[in-house]
Amino acid sequence: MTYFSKKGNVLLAIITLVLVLIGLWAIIFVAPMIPQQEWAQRIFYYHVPLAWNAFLGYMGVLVFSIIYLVTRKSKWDIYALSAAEVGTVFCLLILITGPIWAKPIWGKAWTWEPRLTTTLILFLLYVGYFMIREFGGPYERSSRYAAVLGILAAIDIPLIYFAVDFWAPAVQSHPQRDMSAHSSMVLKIFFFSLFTYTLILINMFRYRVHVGKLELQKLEESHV
Amino acid sequence: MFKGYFIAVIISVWVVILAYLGYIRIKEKKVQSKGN
Repeated sequence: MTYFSKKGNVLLAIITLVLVLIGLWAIIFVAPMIPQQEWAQRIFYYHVPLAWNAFLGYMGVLVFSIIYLVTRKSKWDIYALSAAEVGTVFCLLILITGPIWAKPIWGKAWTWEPRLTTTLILFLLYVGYFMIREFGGPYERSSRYAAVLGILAAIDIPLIYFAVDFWAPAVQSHPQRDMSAHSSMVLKIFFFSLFTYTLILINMFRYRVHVGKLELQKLEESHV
Repeated sequence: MFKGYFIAVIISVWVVILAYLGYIRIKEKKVQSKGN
């Protein structure tokens, strides 16, 4: 049974797609143009929701990994792995869209300032997470090691958020906090974008969990 | 001003998301073909 053979999943995907298209229309045609940054400012309607999704995914890894270590039920391991994969997709997107915005605004795509560096560290920690899963030996052991790394890596999430306050407040402000200074239309479109990208995360996570469960089912059948 | 950067963001976001969905789809097909 494929993921899209369930009507509910198809409906959720269609609703998400329609909302994403409405969001794109609103960002291009309705959102007010901010002086100086103009189109570059509109990147934040994507960049901040992507960051939110990455952190949501990684917080999921934290919670599911703890539950897995306590219960040792494979279901929670599949949830943790799925959340890690989806979180890493969004973390990669932060690392792509951030420099695209920085190039015209800062004059260079990358600087080794605290927030960028801690985000890159988070991404690399999860690359390590997948390497443990791939090369960490038997399923049970690699899942256990990965769960521990997933929990430890989550410590980096608050560090990223407060990195600018801790080490270099002059370097970069919090875009999500600055949003409140803008017009209500900017905020409305921003929260709409946040909602639609969270829906994308939910779709991707559900799809990955479905495939993970199928894989586990086949694995158990092959051992019987 | 900076329209090209905005377009680059939209394209890169969707290329990565669709690539990941394609990866899951391939995994799903592989698992199903094992069962048949």
